[in-house]
Amino acid sequence: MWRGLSDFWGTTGFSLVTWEMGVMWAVAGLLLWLAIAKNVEPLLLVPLAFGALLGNLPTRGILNGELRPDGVFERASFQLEGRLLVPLPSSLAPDGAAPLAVPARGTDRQLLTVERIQGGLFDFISQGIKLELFPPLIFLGVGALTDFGPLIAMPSTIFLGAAAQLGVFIAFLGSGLLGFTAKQSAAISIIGGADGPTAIFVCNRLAPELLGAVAVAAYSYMALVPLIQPPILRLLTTQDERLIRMPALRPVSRQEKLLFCLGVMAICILIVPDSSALIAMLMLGNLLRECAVTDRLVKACQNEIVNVLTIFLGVSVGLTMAAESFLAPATLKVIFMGAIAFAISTAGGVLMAKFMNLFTPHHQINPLIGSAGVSAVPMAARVSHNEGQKYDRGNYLLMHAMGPNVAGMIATAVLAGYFISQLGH
Amino acid sequence: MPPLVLAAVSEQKTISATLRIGDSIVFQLDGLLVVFIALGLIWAAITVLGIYFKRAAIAAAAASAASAVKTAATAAAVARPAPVVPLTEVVPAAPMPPAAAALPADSAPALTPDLSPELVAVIAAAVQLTLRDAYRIHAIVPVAGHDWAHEGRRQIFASHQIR
Repeated sequence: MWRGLSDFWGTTGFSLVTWEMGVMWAVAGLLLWLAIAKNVEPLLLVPLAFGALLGNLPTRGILNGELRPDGVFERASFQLEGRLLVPLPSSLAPDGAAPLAVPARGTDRQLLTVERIQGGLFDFISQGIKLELFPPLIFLGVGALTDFGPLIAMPSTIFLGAAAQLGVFIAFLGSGLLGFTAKQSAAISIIGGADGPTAIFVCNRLAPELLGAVAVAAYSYMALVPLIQPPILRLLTTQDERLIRMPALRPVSRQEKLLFCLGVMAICILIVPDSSALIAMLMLGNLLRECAVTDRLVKACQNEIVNVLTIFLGVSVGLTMAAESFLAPATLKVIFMGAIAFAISTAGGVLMAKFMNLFTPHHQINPLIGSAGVSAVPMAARVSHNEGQKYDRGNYLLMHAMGPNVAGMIATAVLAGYFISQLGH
Repeated sequence: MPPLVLAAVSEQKTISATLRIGDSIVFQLDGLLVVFIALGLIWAAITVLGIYFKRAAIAAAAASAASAVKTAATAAAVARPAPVVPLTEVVPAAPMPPAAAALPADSAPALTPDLSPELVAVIAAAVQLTLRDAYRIHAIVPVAGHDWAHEGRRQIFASHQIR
């Protein structure tokens, strides 16, 4: 009996538990507390924290991992079991019979017959990140949820979104100074765009070893927008600037919105083809919304598709937070540089609005809406609106702030394409 | 020699294998330029489209107003004129064919000299769009106060989930 229990003990996971796993359980617990008790981005942090916990338990049969020769601990890999076949020329095959198979030679085109695929549930689900499926599909839902009308009604606010990418470039330089490679610097600095799916998309392509840290930093800062941005707004604006009232936006016709979808997609893809996946899906979602004849599809994009993907994305990203790769000094550096990128991006949008006001004294832009250029739709726009209302209860900036908000989303996607085109090939 | 800022990167890159601080700054400026070019082109496209659609909307509104005024005038010519009601008094709507909805162009100045026939037509169209039923406008009263601001605030509060 004792021997039986001893054998059973050997099959349990207790012997595989390490102190690093314990630390990660605490990290996962902290994320769950933030999400559930403090309501900080719960839709993403709950599945992400769950994935982080699962990834740091001695599971069996649902998730594989291996330490690569370059020192990176890679999760979610599966094995294919099969035979390599090279069909013989038909002249060598017996009449009427199937071609015989012989072992492959050097330059032969190889045919693989897969007999078995070995992997766990999350090995397959996580392919959504590895194959870069989830971020573009999330963009499909975002496009279906987003109204580009405010941007079309006031096109000049698009430059606020462009200027709000300033933090990305400063963080790129800073990350280099901290010892990161160019690819890693790009992956870290894109946090300043405050666009979670884009950050994951770029990081997976350029620096997958930092995926967990980058995702946690990106979504944490997006959740902390109401805390991070107001002090910067107050620091960079005067009382008079905060009181600026902007004229009501003109109504935008459906034809304009449809043309906007198609035009923006064409322009962005022509300039940065590497952002095609993100931009195309964003605009497809918006096209479905604005064409007004695909109600069922729009509802699916806005609800079922984006919700299912959020669960899978969160859990898959959480699974990348293995103790072996997450508990490293690099993680703290990533979180630090992410904060720098975010703060400077906020400042960039505000300063751009002030700069534009120098040239348009009769059509002043309230600089508070500049901070919305960091994307983080629609949280950043709401922060601009709330901040404006603190000084003038009758000043409604929400719709005006949505212009730079969605412009920031497009700008971040363009920037992601630039980084990938320059560093990822 | 300037300090080496970035570690070696993949040899398959299109930029140089190592990035010094000068290269890094140039790389970033290039990226910022790409973003501004892309968004600048989008801005130009939106602006051009906006000009076109704004002109089209103005032309359509003018045509619609002219048509509404003409229709109203025709209807008024064949129907009994609506009783003139003091400006501050609003009478509940009574069923009436939409064609006779707007006030006759020549009777609008009787209500208030500030109301142009185009404005009356626009208000009549808005009432029709909102009520989607037969109606009659007895008075048009300028709004005094902050009703629109209150409505905006009400909608914002209504959009939040109250715990």
